Parts: sequence; C-alpha cells; structure tokens
Amino acid sequence: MNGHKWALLLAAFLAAGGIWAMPQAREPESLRLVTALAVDSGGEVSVTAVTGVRSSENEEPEVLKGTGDSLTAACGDLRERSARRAYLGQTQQLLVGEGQNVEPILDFVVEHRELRLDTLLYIVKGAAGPALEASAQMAAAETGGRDPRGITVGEVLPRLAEGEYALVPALASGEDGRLAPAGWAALGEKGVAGYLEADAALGAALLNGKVRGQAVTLPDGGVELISSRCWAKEGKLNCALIARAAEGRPSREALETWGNGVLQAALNKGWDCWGLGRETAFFSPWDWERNKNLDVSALTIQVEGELRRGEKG
Amino acid sequence: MGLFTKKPVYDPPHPRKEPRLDGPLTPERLGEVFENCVDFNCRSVAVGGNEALRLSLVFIAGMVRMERVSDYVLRPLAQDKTLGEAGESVAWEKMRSGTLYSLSVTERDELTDAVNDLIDGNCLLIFPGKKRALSFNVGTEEKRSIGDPEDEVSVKGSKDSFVENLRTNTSLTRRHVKAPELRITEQIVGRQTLTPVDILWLEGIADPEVVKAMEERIENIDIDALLSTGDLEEYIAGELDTPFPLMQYTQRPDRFCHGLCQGRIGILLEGIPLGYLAPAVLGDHLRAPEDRSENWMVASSLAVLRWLCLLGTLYLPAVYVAVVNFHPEMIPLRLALSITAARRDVPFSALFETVLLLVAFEILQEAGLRLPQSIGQTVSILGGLVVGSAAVEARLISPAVLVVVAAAGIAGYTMPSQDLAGALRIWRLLFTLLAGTGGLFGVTAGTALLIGHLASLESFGAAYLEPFAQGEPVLRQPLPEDKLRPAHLKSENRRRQR
Repeated sequence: MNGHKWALLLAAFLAAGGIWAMPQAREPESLRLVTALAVDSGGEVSVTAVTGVRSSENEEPEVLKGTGDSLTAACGDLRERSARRAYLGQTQQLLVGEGQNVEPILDFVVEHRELRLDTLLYIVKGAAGPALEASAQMAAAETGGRDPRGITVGEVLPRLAEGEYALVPALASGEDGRLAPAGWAALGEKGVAGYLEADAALGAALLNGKVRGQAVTLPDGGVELISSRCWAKEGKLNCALIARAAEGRPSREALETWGNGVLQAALNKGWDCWGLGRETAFFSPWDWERNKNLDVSALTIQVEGELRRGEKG
Repeated sequence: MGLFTKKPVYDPPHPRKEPRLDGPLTPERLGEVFENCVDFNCRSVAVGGNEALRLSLVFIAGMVRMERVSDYVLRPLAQDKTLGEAGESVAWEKMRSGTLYSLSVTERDELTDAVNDLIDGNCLLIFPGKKRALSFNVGTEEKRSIGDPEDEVSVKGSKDSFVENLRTNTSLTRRHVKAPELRITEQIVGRQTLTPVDILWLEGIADPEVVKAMEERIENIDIDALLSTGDLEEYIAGELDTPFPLMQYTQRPDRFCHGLCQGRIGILLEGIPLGYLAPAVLGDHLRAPEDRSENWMVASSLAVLRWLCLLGTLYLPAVYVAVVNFHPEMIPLRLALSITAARRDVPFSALFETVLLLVAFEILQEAGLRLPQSIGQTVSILGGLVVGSAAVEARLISPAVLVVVAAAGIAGYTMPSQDLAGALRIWRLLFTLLAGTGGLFGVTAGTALLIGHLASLESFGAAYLEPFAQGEPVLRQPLPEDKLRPAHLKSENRRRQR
C-alpha cells in the first residue's frame, strides 16, 4: 500500500470517527482535581469544591466557591476564581444541601462532560457548602477507601426515574463543625422526603444488606452482624440475619426480636426505598400495579436469625 | 529524492556477461585473469620425473591446504613412474581416475568454471596446449568451531549453533534431520561475492509452491555482494513497506530443524551464522525456542506473558499520554494526585517528555549495542540509573513517565524476535504521537491502522496475522495432542503424529 492510500485511509478513519469531537488536551499540572462538590440553593445556586491532596503529604486543600443563577453558571464562576483549572472529572462525593430539588442536580451530573455517574451522593442536613468547607481536610485527603454506605448518582437515577424512593446517606455537621454520618435520607421525586435515623437507620441498613461489622447490643450480650438478606413476598417481609456472638451470651431470639424492631421502624416511615413493591410484583405480575405501589408499613415482618459462636473475623 | 529511495537521474546499462570470462583454459590465460594477484601460483611439474612430460599446477595460496597439495597431488604426480612413462592422454586418464589422492576431481574445459574452482580452494592440473584442466578439491577448512548459541540461550536444548561455514551448517542440519527426504539445493548470489545460498526443505512435507517461490526469488537477486543478512532478507521477503519481519532467523540448528519438520523452508548462506525459516508469521516471532522444552502449562503461561508484554510495549507510553492529557478521569484519584504533584515543576508537556524519554531509551540501547560489552554495560548503567535519577531529581522529567517508558522498554525485551521488537518500537513511537494528538481516539486510530497493516501482510502466501487468521492455538498445546502441522504452511502431509 503506498503513502497516498495510507493517508486516505487515515483521513477516512478520522472523519468517520468524529475527529471534531475529540477532547482537548490538558496538562495534568494545570488542573486542580476537585474531589468533593457541595451544592446549595437559596435564591441563587452556590457550589463549594474541595480539591484533592495526597494523604501522605502535608498539603492544604483548596476550597473553591462559585455562585450563579444556575448550577452551570455557579460552576463557571468557580472555575474563574481558581488560578488553575478546576477539574470535576475526579469528583468522588457530591453533597447536596437540605431542602433542594435533587433532580436538576442529578441531571446536571448526567449532562456534564466531566462529572461521573459513579460519584457518591450525600444529603447534608442544613447547608452543604459551609459543612464541606469545615471538613475540607477530611474530604480532600485521598485514603484509597470507599464509603461502605455510599450510593452513587448512577444508582439513584434509575430509581427516581421509576418514580420510586431512593435511599441516600445523610450527613450532618457535628459539634466540631465537621461532617458526620446522620442516618439515611429518603429521596423522592420532589427532593428529600424525610430521614431514617436511629433504629430506622439500622433497619434501612438491614434492608440494604450493608451491615457487615455493625455492632449490636442485645439484652444478654453483644453481637457483630455478618450479613442480612431481605425479600418481600405475598405481603410478608422475610429477613435472614446472620451475626457473630461477640460478648456475653446473646440469644438467637433476642437477635430476631431486635431485627424485627429495627425493620419495623424503617418500614413505618412508609417509603419503599428498597424496591420491595417491585419485588412483590415480580412474584405476581398479573397484579403488577397494586403490588408495585405496596404500602410497606403494612408488611408482616419475619426475621430468621442465625447466631454463630466461636467464629473469628 | 525520497526519504528512503533516491530518484535515479542516470540509468546506466547493467550488463551481465555470460560466460563471465572468455578465452582458452590455459595457464597463460589464467595468469592474465589473476594479474596483479600475489596469491596466484602456477608451477610446472615433471610428471613421474619425466622432463619431457610436464604439466602446470595452478592454485591460489591461502585457499588451499598446502599439505594436501604436496602430499596427495604433487608427491604421487612426481614419484609415480607409470605416469611419466605413459603418454599424455593415458596419464590424464590415470590422474582423473585415482592415481592422485583426492576425494573429488572434476574435469573443466570452461575458463570461468576453472577460475571459480581456484577461488573455492581447488588446484588445477593443465597439460600444455590442452584447453582443459583437472580440478582437485584441496581447499583449506579453516572455520570457527561450533559453539553455544549466544543470542538464543539454550537451557534444556542442544548447545550447538550455526557457524559461518555453509557446509558445516548443512551438516549440522543433516545430523538433526536424518530423513533422506531432506533436500538441499544451492544457488550462487552476488556478482562479486559469488555467495552460495542453500535452500533446505523436507520433500513431501513442505509446500512445493513455497519452495518454487523461494527458488525464484533467490534466482532473481542480482546484487554485487551478499555479505549481510539484509542483502538476502529484503530481496526475498516480498514486502518492503513494513518494519515487521517476514522471515524468521535462528542460530540454533534444533530450532531450524523443527521449522523444517513443520513444513517450512530453510535457507542457509555462506558467511552468515544463521538459518532462515519461511513462512514466518506473527505467532512464530512470539514463540521462544525453549517453549517446546518447557512443560506445556509453563510454556503457555509464558506465551500469555509475552502477548501481554507485546501489548505493554506497544501501548503503555501511548495510553499514559492519552490518559494524562485527555482523560484524567480514568486515572484512580490517588494516582492522579501523584502524577499531578510529580509533574508540577516539570517544564515539558507530557507528550514531549514521553517522546524525549523514548528517544533517549533508543539512544542508550544503540550506544550499549555498538560499544564493547564492558563499556556498553557502563553506558547502560550511567544512562539508565544515573542520568535517569538525576533528570527526575532535577525535575526535568516526572518519575511516572520514567517508570512507564522503562516498563514499556523492558516489556519489549521479552520478545523472542529482536526484529519484531524493533518493529514494535517504531509503532510505539507512532502510537505515542497519535495519543498526544487525539488521546484514546488517536490510539484507537493507530490500532486500526496497525491491524490493517498486519492484515495486508503475507509471508510466502501465509497470512501474517496467524495464529488469529485461521484460529490456530496461541498457547502451547500438550505435544501428544498437537497432531497436525500448522494449516497456514499448507503442508502436503499435515499429520505429524498418530
């Protein structure tokens, strides 16, 4: 093949591949890698970003702020205020302040060229920006781990699109002003429907199956939860709960009673954040609509506990 | 004038005179042919002590073994009285039929043939006035002894390797493959060097079409000198617009013979201690000679490693440039922060830095190869460790790119074929430039070009993309289950075992 044919082939390939849509080259040192982004809206939208620092270095994270009529304008403002370009492609956490409609924010993530669907979503009780600023060092340091409670934007979106509730970890400012876990927020079509706290939060964790390592105090001793698996069928919520006896002489019955209580607390709120209605509907598809809109607080709970003794880890 | 070719401005005739030398086959004419040649010798000898019957003994000093001429030709010639008492024609017949001790004797009546015999180390006996000569093989056998294959180290295989002497190499082949079906034909290549080139194949196993094609290609070579491997390779490979090797070379007779037994064609040439095998496809260049000596699982694991290294050496710098410059979201956060911090004071762009290091790597490699071994090692250490570390400390380059380029370079060294490794180095640079232009899009475009290029290549009728073209195994099968010869060799007898 001669040179002309090669050139022609390359040109055809580039044209067919959409060369005009190629991303722009950026040198990495010219970027400020944003790791956490907080969004608040009260009249105008304000965004607060924390740039990443290496946990092994004594670097100070940079807090960038921007305001605007829209989220796009606020992000543009944030970029203008930074000496180096704020790059949102590495955003690990998206914090949304209380009382906002979450849907446009999630749409922004979907449409944005840099933001990713695997960004973890949090609801902050109160304003997210100041809380993030107070916790900047914590939010910026890359520890290599991932929040075990984390729910990504990509996981929340389809649930909201189906008109269902989605469970998102909630955060609140602690006494030192830094962010701390504060149960779960139930996201609905119109924003945060409410919070699951204390026993309800534990029940939500059981329903999510994210309980490994959770310590529970029972009347005769303490246990450490290993796993939970819940499923709904024919008006009944079944839960298989496995725990390890950690101290004292806890009983299986006490474990089951505890499980029953926390699950009831979670379901009493009436928000089906776990797709229990859809699950029930799958078992009886001929009655799909009625089952899909299941009243979860009316479910009968049956917990089957398994207590393991003498097991390490 | 092009980059690789020069436009001919003057196209002179290219005559080839046949026969090369004219004139009668006489000592005088031979003297004219070898005029001003100090090593040409011609002396008159009285046959059987009979002064009336004299003949000329002609030879080239250094090309013949003097003891053989003295003991096996001159001594019986001078001392055998029956030769002196016989007439000229009877003496001629006696000498031809065994009175003189030589393994081979040929009667020559063409000047060109006689001259070639002299150059090959024969001596000629010529009666005055007769335009013919008896040619005795008394050549010297000075040659390098058979040693270990230095470039293809053998752990569990045979330890012999090809040498510069063609006959030694054919004998090594015969010792490994004792089948009477082994065919060895010879052609002379090079107007000035007259280098013998032998084609070897197993009758009934090799594809006769490939043998024929090989013979034709060698026959069509019309060059001055066949002194280096390129003088042969580039003329018979069939495709010049590619850096990829279309023939395989080896130092090891066992590997060469395995190729013959597979149904491939072998080439041996005088003066080059290598054997060539054709067809040679991509998969052949990724098989190490030791593969058949290893356990099949070990050999298969190493094969997978080699293919991964091929991808690594080809893509690592390109993917680094693409990801760092165009797609930083693909990098894990911790690594992204490290790269950003490491590049903060580096004055060059990631692309320039990578290309610079790739070129520096090539320079170091060339310097190491061209220098004597002891100095070469020093250069490698100085260049690789001292200059590399100093450049990182001086913030001229970032540590990440140093690691990437070094990893790509080392991955390239796992290639069993250095020809293939050379080709990959060229494409690696091209991929890096494409990555700097269009990110992963550029890398993908380059990959498409490479696949297209490889798919367009053939080695003596075999698709170069084997083992992928016909779905042959990439891994080494257990040998008892490897029943058939590779399909792409179009062997006349595909089954190699029951």
